[in-house]
Amino acid sequence: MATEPLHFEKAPIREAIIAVQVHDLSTSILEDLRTLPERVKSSYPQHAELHESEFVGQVGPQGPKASAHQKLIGFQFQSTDSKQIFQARLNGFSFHRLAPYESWAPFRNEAFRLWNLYREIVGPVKTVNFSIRYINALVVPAPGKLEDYLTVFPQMPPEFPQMVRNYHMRIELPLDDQTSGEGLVTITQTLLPSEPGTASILLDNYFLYAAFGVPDDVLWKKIDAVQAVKNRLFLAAMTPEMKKRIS
Amino acid sequence: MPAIASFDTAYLAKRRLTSRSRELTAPTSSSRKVFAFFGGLIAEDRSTSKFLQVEREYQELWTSLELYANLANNWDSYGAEKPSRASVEATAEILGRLREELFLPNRVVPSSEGGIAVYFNKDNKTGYLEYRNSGDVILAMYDNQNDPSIIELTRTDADKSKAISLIRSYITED
Repeated sequence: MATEPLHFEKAPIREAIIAVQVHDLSTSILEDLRTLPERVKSSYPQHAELHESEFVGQVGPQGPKASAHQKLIGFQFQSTDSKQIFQARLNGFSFHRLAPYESWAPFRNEAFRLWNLYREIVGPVKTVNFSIRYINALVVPAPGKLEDYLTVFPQMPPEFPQMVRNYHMRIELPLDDQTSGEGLVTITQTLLPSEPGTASILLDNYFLYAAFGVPDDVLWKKIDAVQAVKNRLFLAAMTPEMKKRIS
Repeated sequence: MPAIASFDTAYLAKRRLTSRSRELTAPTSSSRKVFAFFGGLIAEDRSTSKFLQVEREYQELWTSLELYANLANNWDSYGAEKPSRASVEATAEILGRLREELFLPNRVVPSSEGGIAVYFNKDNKTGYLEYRNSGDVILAMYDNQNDPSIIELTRTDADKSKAISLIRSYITED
């Protein structure tokens, strides 16, 4: 089903991420992943290794023991302007678009192109889950009322002080859409440092869906289906005044 | 219905600059707590978001800058001048620009020449931008193989852009 494109002139999106987690691949795949820098260097000239670190502390009859291990798990690639990043790891893939964010189509298409490249290199994978994440910074006048800009915010009884210095709100809600399937949205809000006379409200919408062993075509159909869900929730979280501010 | 208080870093800086001794001896000052609070919240998600990672690093650098804004003269016991308000503000401005460009330095340090310096490091390369109390702005780029490149700049917006561009090219090129 086609989804109505959503576009705001002053889009508050600071980062959008599509990520797919897969069952851990064999470490021998790392050698294949080492060919990636050459293949993407025209659009992603900067790359760095990604490591996973493990620290273990144990207390036993013989006294305390501690050990640390670090292992290479993949690579991160970055475009010249640092606005696009992707990770190719033994446990998955992610594509990140930083501001300015244009629209869903170019974002999704670039993620899809890079996913195909990843799949070409690593071979068969068993997917575990996928996620779509939109990190927004809504800049509003301060002091000001949260209710003027957001429809979801912490409510406090009148006996409480009504001036909020900062807050951290995290809500997890189950999702069950026909096409994208069962999932979970985690909505996080807090205040970020901002310019004088303003407040910058972090609105982080993180959509996570199970995708056990689904083939690529199904996976991307599910990913595409999340576009409508994330648009619906984003629009519903803002008041008309907030929408006007970013239009 | 709750209202949002104005959180403005410039206000915090001004407040600290006008009440140095009390703030310096108060490690649980409200602004520090605010930054620590942000840090804690953002830490959990920073591994997967470049934006949140930059926000977190920016807050840490800002906390360092706040501390250096409160130094006294002879802070290094070798007679160094405390960083002037102008050098702190110039550093705050460049940090703001670097935050927008998602290209933050590794460290902010007080300069023994009097002023504040920001350091960028990658592998064996160092980029160094110093805002001195005298008003001088020094950009230096060096590694362990070549002669250092030292450029004198001004505090204009154009020179801020030039400094960022030069350091970015130097640090990120292979």
